[in-house]
Amino acid sequence: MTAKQLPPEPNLAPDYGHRDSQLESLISKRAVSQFESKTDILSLEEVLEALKEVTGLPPVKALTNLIGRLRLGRIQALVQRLLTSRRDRVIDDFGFDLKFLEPLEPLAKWFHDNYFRVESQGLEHVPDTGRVLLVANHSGTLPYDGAMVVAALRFQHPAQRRVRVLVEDFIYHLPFLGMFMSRVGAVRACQENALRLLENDEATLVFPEGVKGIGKLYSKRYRLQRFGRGGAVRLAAAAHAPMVPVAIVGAEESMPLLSKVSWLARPLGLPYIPVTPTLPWLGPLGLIPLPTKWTIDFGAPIDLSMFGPDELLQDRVALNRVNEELRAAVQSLIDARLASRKSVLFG
Amino acid sequence: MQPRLRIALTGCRTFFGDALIRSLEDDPRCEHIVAFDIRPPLSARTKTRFTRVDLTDPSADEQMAKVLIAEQVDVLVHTALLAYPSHSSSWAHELEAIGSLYVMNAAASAKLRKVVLTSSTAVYGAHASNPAFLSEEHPLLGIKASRWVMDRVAVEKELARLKRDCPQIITTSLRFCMTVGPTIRNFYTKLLTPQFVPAVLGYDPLMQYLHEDDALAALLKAVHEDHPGAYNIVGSGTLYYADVIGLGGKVALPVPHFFGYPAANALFNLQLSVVPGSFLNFFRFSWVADGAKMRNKMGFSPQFTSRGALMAFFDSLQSRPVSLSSEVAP
Repeated sequence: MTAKQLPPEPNLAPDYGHRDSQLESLISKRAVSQFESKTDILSLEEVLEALKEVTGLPPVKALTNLIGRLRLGRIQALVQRLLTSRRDRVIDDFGFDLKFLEPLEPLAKWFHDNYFRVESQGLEHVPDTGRVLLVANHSGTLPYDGAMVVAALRFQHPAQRRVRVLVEDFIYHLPFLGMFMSRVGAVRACQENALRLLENDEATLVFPEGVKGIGKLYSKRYRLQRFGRGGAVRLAAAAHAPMVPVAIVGAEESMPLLSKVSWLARPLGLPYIPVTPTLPWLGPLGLIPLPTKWTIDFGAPIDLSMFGPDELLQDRVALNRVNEELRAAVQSLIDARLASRKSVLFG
Repeated sequence: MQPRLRIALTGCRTFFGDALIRSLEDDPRCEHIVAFDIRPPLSARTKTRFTRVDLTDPSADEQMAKVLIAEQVDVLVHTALLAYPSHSSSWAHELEAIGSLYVMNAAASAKLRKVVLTSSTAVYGAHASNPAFLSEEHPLLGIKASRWVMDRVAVEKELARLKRDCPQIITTSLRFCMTVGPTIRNFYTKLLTPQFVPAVLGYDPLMQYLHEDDALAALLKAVHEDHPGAYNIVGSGTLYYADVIGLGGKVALPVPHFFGYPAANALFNLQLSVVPGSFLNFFRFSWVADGAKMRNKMGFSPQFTSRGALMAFFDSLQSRPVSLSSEVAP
């Protein structure tokens, strides 16, 4: 097919096989210093237990005791592993680095299981293999919703599918953020990239509302914005992929957006600077969302097979109609969930 | 048997010109070579005929057309392009953009069969909005602030104009990605040679490299076979820039981007560096090109992956002339 990265790269320059291959020595070196277990990350229970045991001791002794108990060495090893440039890194076409993501997965799982207590319905609508386009509502000021859909399909779906998320361009203008996002498998949202993902039979998550959705004020919560220009439908039609509507409820209240500062945002390359009950006031701590109860509903796939091949791609009016149907499908999933929800914090 | 080709090339002292002469001298499919440059070729033997032409001279097209007709040339390979961004940008513009205009004029009036251009994937420009793989149909945005890149875009436009005006001439543009290897020396190899390598703080784009052998093989293929259109010639696989630096055992010098642009411009204007500020975009955003058309339509697949090409280059940096070590050895 294309310049697809095959792990491990097959022909490492046969012409200078007489030299020590740097790559092989690096791989073997890393194999020795392999981080022992990817699940060996701090859990909340462990911290609470350690805290319980050291209460009552004099403060200095308590602190040293706590550090000893939590074995900070392993956290240091984790950070080191994330920071060191690994020359034998195996990445895919879009720079997705599995070894980078793996240590972060327990964190996502903790947020998914214990913090947002995500409840997923209709996971059977997502096929175990093959291409699928997940179309979700975007909300919550910061894109925690994308991470939670990824976690839901990773930890609750029987096939443990990894989802590739399509993200806004502006991420790549900002330092560190673009670097991080492409390593964990996010892909810049554009037709070429998304088509390539679907052709590789990936589960692809798209937020057609874009910044308009995530950056809508709290007063407009759960009211879907325009679904772009129908790019998601065009994509599904071009790739012959089923579209699964996804409704995320709970994200809006986790970080209610009260106001937006746009005059300061433009020179910084951001779409907006959010003002939430916590955000500028508490500094970096304000980035922590409120522990609302989340539900993610996966709807029945929208079938485009009644249209002939390329019919939708040529008929713009029909395409726009399907786009509206898709929006209505997501909106009705949201409305049904909101009607049965009793509490924001407990579901 | 195929008729033997008469091949002309501009820029016989460039890497591609020199390597092309070296391989065509031994090639039975080539009858003779016509070389244009301001200095005679280094590797010429019996087949090569040299004509001194200065592409900044307004009569260059007339001089070249005369020779092309007299020598009955079939194929012209245009390689007279700068390997480094020049400090005298107006001279570089005359040589590359206007010089290419003269070359295309000469090709049109000599009614050649084919023109091959050694272009670069830099003509797409490095932008945050680029798709992960740039196809040949992607607009040639270049980088507006960089004269060097925009001159390269102008060269591509001259070729497109030739194709429009003389549709019977086969025009091929080979867009090479960063070409590295043991002997080629260009902007990209110069950047990766010192111990400290510039990088932009917080940005780590995917990079793609091509081995010089593969570049030459693709060029020879385009000369001998007919492949009209533009082709990205790229090694398979991509690497993060941090891994490129790590692979060579280099140390990255990360500068914040808001500071990097003016600082790099100041150093470039003082002739202390080879990187103008606008080039920082190449370390900030991805500009990886898609090799699908090269593989499927042209039927060419490089021997070296991006990583293999880089390792060959870095290994060549470590090799020393034998005389140095033999002096100290007992």
